Amino acid sequence: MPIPGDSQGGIAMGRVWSIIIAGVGGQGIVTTARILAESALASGYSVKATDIVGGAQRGGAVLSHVRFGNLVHSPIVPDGLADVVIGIEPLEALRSSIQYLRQDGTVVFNEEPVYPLTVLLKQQKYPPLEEIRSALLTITKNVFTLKASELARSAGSRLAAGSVLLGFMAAVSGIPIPKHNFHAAMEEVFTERVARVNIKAFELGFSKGLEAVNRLG
Amino acid sequence: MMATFFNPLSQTDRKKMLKDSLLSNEKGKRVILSGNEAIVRGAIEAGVKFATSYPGNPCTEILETLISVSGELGIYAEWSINEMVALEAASAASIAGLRSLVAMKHVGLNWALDPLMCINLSGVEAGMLVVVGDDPQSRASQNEEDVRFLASMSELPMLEPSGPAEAKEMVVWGIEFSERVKLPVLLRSAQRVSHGLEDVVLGDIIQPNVRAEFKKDEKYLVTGAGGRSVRLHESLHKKQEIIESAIERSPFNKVVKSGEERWGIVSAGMGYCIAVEALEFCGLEDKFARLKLAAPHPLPKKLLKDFCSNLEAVVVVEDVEPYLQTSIRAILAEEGISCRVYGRSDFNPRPVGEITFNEVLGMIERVSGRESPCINSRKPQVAMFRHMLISRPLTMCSGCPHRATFYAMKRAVNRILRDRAIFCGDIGCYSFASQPPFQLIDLKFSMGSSIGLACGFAKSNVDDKVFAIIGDSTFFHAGIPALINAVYNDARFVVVVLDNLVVGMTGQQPSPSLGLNANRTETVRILPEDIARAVGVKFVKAFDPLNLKEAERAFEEAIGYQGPGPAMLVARSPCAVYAAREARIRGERLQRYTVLEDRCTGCGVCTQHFGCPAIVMKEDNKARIEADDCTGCGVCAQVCPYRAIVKEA
Repeated sequence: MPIPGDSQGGIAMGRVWSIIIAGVGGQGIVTTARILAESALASGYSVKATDIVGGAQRGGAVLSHVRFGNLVHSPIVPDGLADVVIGIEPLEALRSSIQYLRQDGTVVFNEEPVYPLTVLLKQQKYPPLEEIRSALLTITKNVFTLKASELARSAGSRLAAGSVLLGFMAAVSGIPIPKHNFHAAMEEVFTERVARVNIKAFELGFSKGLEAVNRLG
Repeated sequence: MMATFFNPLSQTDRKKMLKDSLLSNEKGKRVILSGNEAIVRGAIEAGVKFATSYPGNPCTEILETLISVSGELGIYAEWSINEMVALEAASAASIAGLRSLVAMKHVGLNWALDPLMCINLSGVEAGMLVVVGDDPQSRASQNEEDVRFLASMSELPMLEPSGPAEAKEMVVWGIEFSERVKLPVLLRSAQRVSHGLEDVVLGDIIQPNVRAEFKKDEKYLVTGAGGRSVRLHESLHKKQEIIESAIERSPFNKVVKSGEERWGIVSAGMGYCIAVEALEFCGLEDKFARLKLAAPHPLPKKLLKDFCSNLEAVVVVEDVEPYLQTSIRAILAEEGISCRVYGRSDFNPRPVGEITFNEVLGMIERVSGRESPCINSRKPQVAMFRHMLISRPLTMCSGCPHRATFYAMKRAVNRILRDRAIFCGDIGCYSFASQPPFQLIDLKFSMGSSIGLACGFAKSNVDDKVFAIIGDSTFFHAGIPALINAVYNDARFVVVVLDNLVVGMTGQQPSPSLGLNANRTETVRILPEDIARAVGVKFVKAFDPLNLKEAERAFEEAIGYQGPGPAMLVARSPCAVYAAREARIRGERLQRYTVLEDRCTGCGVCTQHFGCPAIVMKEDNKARIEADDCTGCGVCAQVCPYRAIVKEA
């Protein structure tokens, strides 16, 4: 069995990996997508990505599509064809999984919600995490959750939650990008200090991912 | 965990690497760039020396990115006051011999259309590129349009890239072609391209050594007198032949055809990428010939004729309107080619928004008669879990001074006017006051329209008190002529300028009231109240909205003002996101606020009526302030009737 995250790359001709990163403006979705795109490029793949951002700084949902492979035609992940959904926010993980995740794909999401203002105003009710999880289980058995913001905070900044989730995803999804390329991408994209925080966050997520894989046997 | 509305890391810490990529002389190097960044790299490679823009999604990042390297490259870059001025300034630079670039969103081109319809007649000198960021699906705009119609109206070539890599090449080609044909070239970059990421191959950078010099010529005097503008129009028509033949031969048209196919796909931009994937998905890539167009305007007639002549049918894939489809039908009819031209409008007579993968699959299915592989339907999940998928409306950020302004405004209005008031809104973060808890915006159209609408209501003698609610940047962009109109025609209403010193919604670019220009050098500070006084507004008052008592009093006075002319209030306090970022850069800590649990009664004024997203009502019916999100504005402490909110020790 290949060691998760230590894949030396290489995917079948014509195979394109499609990943959705979902969350709320300000959570670092676009940056996380950039790290993933840079890591895929460093692994020798062709990469296309796009962000769906509307008023990202004011509590709106943000979605990044990242696709890589030997030849990628379009950056837009068709409905129901994403291999992985990374949710930096639980509700957005559910929303984007229903639209994009393929049957038996992998969803990894942060357990910390960002409540819409309407929830704070008591006009809408935020669904309990357990309900979100069971809803996702109707699409795939590969549903993983973790306290990514908390882990990120222990790595040095809550804003590194995306890197925690990337690390976890690298361990559980079988994504053909070697771990060191994620590190290299972070060193390339961030300043030294921020790169350190994000690499630490990635590693925390990665070991949580390994634990989850081992638990599943 | 509560809303984290800003992420200073992603913006500042990425810049170094980006700057290296933009300035790199390593020809052939592959780097990942967004569409907007690729456009900047293209401008640098083409030796652009003058760049202007007004912020607006999806192309705000073009000038933002360019500013970061403008010093090193000796490029003049400005945030112009509006898109019209941006276009005029870039045209003058080009007429004086500097290669120029101007970037704006689709609705910005509506503003700039007036000068564009003259600059197309006079022409320009050095290469000039007009980047128009289009927002099909209206994700971050007041409306969706289809800017391609403006290309055919202005008779200017409009290139459309299918991704960042092609965007960069098109910028270089477009600027060179503009210089050859002496006309501005348009580049339509739709949201999915502008915000796309792709590996881009770097090319050579030209560093032209030119001095601006205006060579006088009567063609620059665009006037109907003596029939000159009609002659210029005629010569613009004549230039179309050169443009058509250049577009016909442009390297960006792409034909994939063996001659065996019965059907074809025609597209431009991102639609082409979706179409190719859809064909592969259906296993029909050998059954459909493919034509990717470089430009929606002008269309390459000969290429289209050759492509379609032995096909039974083609499927046209495009966003929003059936622009290509209609034009291609006309071209084929003219040439007597019987190939049928299918498009979105055959499946949906009134197409709107971005085209989707599923829509393209449906079109391919219909034309080929082959069923496409089934995509797992999520209809059961959508039905089962709809109740969980609650909406996430945009809202003002935690600590936003606009929230304080609206809180004070609502109190004053409720007390004095009750529901006898009309609120004309405008374009900016303050438009979120249309939603709970304030619900204080009744109308909202386009840039600056709040004051013009208010003039009309006031002069119609409606019984209600009329308010125009407008931000500083929007006021400078488009509100000033309307304010003069109000004074000149004695229209009596209240103008509220929410001055947060920056263009908040697009990422806190400096506004003239900040006193800094695009590259953060100091400049004259221009205040809305000074402009109001200068144009003859008799009641003018500026106040700090973070002081609620002062704010409420200001509203009371303004509501009581009986004329002549409008009353003007300026609520001034810096954008919370901007202020927090500046504080962080200076190494200052924000003074946070906290709730004293023994005093909190759970009355809900802070959460229900004020609605700052940093405040949550916990299960035990006590309010809590999320320390990470509190910016320390202190307004909630004034709102709380029980003095339960205090400065954190």
